[in-house]
Amino acid sequence: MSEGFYYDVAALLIPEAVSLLKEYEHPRKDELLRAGDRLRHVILSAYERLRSASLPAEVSRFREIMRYGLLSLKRVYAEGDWRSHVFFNEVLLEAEATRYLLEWLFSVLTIPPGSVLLDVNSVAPLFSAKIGTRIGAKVVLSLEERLAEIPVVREVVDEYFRRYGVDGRVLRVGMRFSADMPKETADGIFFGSLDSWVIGWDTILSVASASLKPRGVLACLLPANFREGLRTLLDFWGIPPYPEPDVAATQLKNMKFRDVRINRHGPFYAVVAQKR
Amino acid sequence: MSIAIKVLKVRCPACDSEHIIQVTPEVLREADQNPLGLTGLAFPHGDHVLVVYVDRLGGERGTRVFRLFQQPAARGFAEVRVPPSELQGLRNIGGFWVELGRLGVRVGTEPSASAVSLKAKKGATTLELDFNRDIGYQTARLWLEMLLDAFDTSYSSELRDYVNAVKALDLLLEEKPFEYARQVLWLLSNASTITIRLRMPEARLLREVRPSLFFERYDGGFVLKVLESSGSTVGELLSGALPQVLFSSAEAILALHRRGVIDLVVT
Repeated sequence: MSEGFYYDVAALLIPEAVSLLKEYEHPRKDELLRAGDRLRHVILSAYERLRSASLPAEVSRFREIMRYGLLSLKRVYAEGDWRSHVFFNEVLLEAEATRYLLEWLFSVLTIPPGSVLLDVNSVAPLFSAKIGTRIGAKVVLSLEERLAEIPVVREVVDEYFRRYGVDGRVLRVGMRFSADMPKETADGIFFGSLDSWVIGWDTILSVASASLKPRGVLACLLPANFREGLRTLLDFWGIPPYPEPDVAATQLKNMKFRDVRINRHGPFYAVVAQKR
Repeated sequence: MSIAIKVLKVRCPACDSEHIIQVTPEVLREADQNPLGLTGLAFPHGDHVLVVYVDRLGGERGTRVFRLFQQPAARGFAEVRVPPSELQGLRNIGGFWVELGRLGVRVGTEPSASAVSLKAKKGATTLELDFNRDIGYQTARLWLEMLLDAFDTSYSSELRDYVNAVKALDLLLEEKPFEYARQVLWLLSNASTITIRLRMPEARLLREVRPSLFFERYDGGFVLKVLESSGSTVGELLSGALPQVLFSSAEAILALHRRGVIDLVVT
């Protein structure tokens, strides 16, 4: 029932995001400035639906977190302050829906002790740090060069490894993920952060296929932004639309993954699958 | 000798004397490497030291005046002795002394009978550490130099700040160097001169959302205490803490700063 609220809340944040765009230089400013006009009907409908509705607490929290995310974009582009980007990543993982799905992933993900877990583009690698602590996995955090060069990102990653007592290291990769990632070396691979979502579903599939060992496990926390509202809102971070869960499951089976399990909660879904 | 790329004129608030500051590329580099993006330039005169803070763009970011602890003794340094009880419970460090040339102060414990001592000098600061056990030259050297670096850029006139940094180092000696180790030592060495300012909406969001790292891997009670301590100095927050807690608390403060939840302001 509350699922629709998430999309309406996301739609209503778009005018705020557009308004904030005027205060800083976003690389796709012109295109995004037109989003408000293009989605006028979606926004009006969302407004009508929410006008007399009482929002569940988890949806209000999600709105507050995403609103902060918009401010974090401004801080990054206008002030070069990446601290807020890190913080936004962290608080987004604490929203009710993401927290629920991460717990689910945590409970179903089975990789043997001493395994190598590849975490892709997480500036706050909470999930891999927890898995690393639980089963003694070695964590390899692959970070795009543009992220790995930011001092605060390096410090936060080191902080997660230290505070969770994880055997972890950073692997710098270029923008062409598929080419730069290690081949068939990972027992598990995780995509579950804003910056990992930016690379898109097709790249996730090809990176997972190439990097996982046979019987390696793919774990994803993904945005359900195949629906409007969230689709355009996440476009402010350059996140492309992700497929509907059943489409994602079919694609995974076609890519020779088995035991595909999907759990949807609010505006996100989680995927676990094993490479044959 | 470097050419000044900017010249600042500053008046000492204590005695009204005027000082000319030459901002050189070295000064800017030092500010750039500092966690707060500031560096301090010291001008000892009379019975006090004027410290002028300069940011990474060469702009003046405030001044501070320190009284010397006491009139200089031998070799121009005022001596301050740290009671042995201060270092009780430390596993690795048996004693230390540091000469802070820019403040004209020599702080340290009574000479100890330890087998291993290391000494290093940087700028106007000299630091010697006595170790209770052999922890390996490379390890000791690396941490000693890091602490020396922190002391050399500190303008705290609070003796406790230096002692606390030594206490934290006692724990760090058992760790591998990490990305922000220098910042921990710097924060402790400057604790009484750094004030905490909350930033909104980050502080409110952290209180409401309670990110896992802060409440699973740091002392959540201390994190909340920091969020209620806007305007307090780091030194006040760390007051009375045991060495283990001191280190972890300094890390927690830096973690909050790293997310933009607080600002650390030199006052």
